Amino acid sequence: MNEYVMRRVLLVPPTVFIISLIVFGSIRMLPGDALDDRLAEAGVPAEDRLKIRADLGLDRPLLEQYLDWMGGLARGDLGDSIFSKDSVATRARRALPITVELGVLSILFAIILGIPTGLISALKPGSLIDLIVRTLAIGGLSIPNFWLATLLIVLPAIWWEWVPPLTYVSFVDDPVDNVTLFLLPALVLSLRLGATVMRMVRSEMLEVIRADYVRTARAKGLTEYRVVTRHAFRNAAIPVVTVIGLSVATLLGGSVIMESIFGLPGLGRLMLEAIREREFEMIQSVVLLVGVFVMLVNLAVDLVYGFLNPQIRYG
Amino acid sequence: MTAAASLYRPRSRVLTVRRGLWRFLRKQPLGTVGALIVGLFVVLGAIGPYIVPYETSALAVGPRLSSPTLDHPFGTDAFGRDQFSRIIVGARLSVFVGFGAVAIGTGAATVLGLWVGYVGGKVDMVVQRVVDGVMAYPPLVLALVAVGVLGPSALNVTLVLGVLMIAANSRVVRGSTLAVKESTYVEAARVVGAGTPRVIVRHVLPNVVSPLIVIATVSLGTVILAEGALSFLGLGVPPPTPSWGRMIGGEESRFYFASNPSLVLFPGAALTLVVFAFNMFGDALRDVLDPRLRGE
Repeated sequence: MNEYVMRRVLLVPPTVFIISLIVFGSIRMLPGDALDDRLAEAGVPAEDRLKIRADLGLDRPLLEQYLDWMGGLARGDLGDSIFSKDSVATRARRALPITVELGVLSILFAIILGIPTGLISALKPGSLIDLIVRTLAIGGLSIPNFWLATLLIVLPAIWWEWVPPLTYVSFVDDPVDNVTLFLLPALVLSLRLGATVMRMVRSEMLEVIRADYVRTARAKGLTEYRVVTRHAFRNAAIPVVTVIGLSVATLLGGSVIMESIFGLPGLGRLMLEAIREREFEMIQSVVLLVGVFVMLVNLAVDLVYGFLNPQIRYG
Repeated sequence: MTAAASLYRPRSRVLTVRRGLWRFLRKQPLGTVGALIVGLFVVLGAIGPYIVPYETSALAVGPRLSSPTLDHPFGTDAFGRDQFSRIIVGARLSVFVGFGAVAIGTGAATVLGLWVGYVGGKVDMVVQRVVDGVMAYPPLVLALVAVGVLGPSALNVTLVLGVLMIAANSRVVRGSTLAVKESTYVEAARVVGAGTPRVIVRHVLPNVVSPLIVIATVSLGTVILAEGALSFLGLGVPPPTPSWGRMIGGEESRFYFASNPSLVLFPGAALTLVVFAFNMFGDALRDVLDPRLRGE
């Protein structure tokens, strides 16, 4: 067990290093000088543009810039934003909890939607309800979340003159309003994951239900309910944990869209803004943060997986 | 020798394909429907611009923001352009980006996955860490950044979405390669004296094709959705090329859809239908090609 944990943890630094190289490299390798264009658009005169570039250190060698960036990161300094007074770190700190709240709610919704439907479907394979649930799941994987979200704003407004709340209220100011705000985007965001969970639960249950230990449990005379919940589902749930963990990256991608539609000032919106304003310093740091965050979640999932499934520790 | 060779000659390929098709039609009715929709979509992508009733870039072919009428079955947009024609022609962009990106993504992933899977060792170790690094990212986030800095164009969107698929798909190919590598027929081929390239191309590749076809089909749906999302966020293919994503969220509808929901309704429905078709087709292919994953 210890060796397994050690091996996984030791892989973190090289992976972070590679992530940072990918981010830094891909932004610097780009042709042209987008920052210059952007400043020119904003009406900044040429000599000031040169000065801004010097202040940002963009005229120095790449290696020096990279080391400087890394050094700043180690001190918790993510750089400054060009078009805003707040530093990137401050803005990211403000945005992160919003994205996390959206993500956690979506995972909850996905579990609530996916697990019961997957179980029902697996217990009656080939039945009408199985067919319906499976078709709905493919629907959940196919429907564009930005379309659904737009319709959920537009249609109720037309039919009942009701518009979902679209101005952000912090949890500290008003917990109820805050959660209400997240319900609709979290639900839309959860559909894809919910469908994936449903399909996973179904196929795992179908696999597990034929296992010898399930037959033994039945032979012992346990009720079907007990067989399903205590013996079959517990084993089927292990890969489901992995799927949910691995979906964090996709959820973050989707939250860019949800945040921009529902007016939530989270990490996704910060990034989108940075891209639109071509604030490379900010894109670079926020993207790295997102990558490290996802990697740590994946690590946690791997460790939980090792804990749930003793076989893997010796693999 | 010649007699023995003819004994082991496989059945006529045409016959096998015809049988496979027939089986697919019978066993996978939903998959067949999916395949038909996919076929229609591809055809529209090819001939769309030549059959539509109205020129898509022509302004004011009808009244502005009209609801669906007989002349304009899906209504018109804020510039008085015919929505029905724009949706048909929009299929072209989705086809181009979808098939282009999947060709790049699965093609490169196949080469990479086969190579590192077969060779193994240090090379594999390093490549897998890079794949980990790329996979730690939400693909949409990387796509946004890349298109944001490269500049939005159909070619850039295709390239970016294709390159982003390489990491995850190469892992699937590598996994299958690792399994096939240990099989007795690969060992036999090596014993007979076949070199590494020959073993990989003639013996390993044919055995990893099934999972590849399945991933490629499902990825098509995902890529088309991603193109829609990029266009929706304003980082897709710029106007005047009609794009379903931009029709939903771009300037031409954002300020008007509250009073004209048909502006959003139809392009989104087209997108959903196509992705749904690819997913059903992909699922059916998986059932047929990869019985281990059937789970029944």
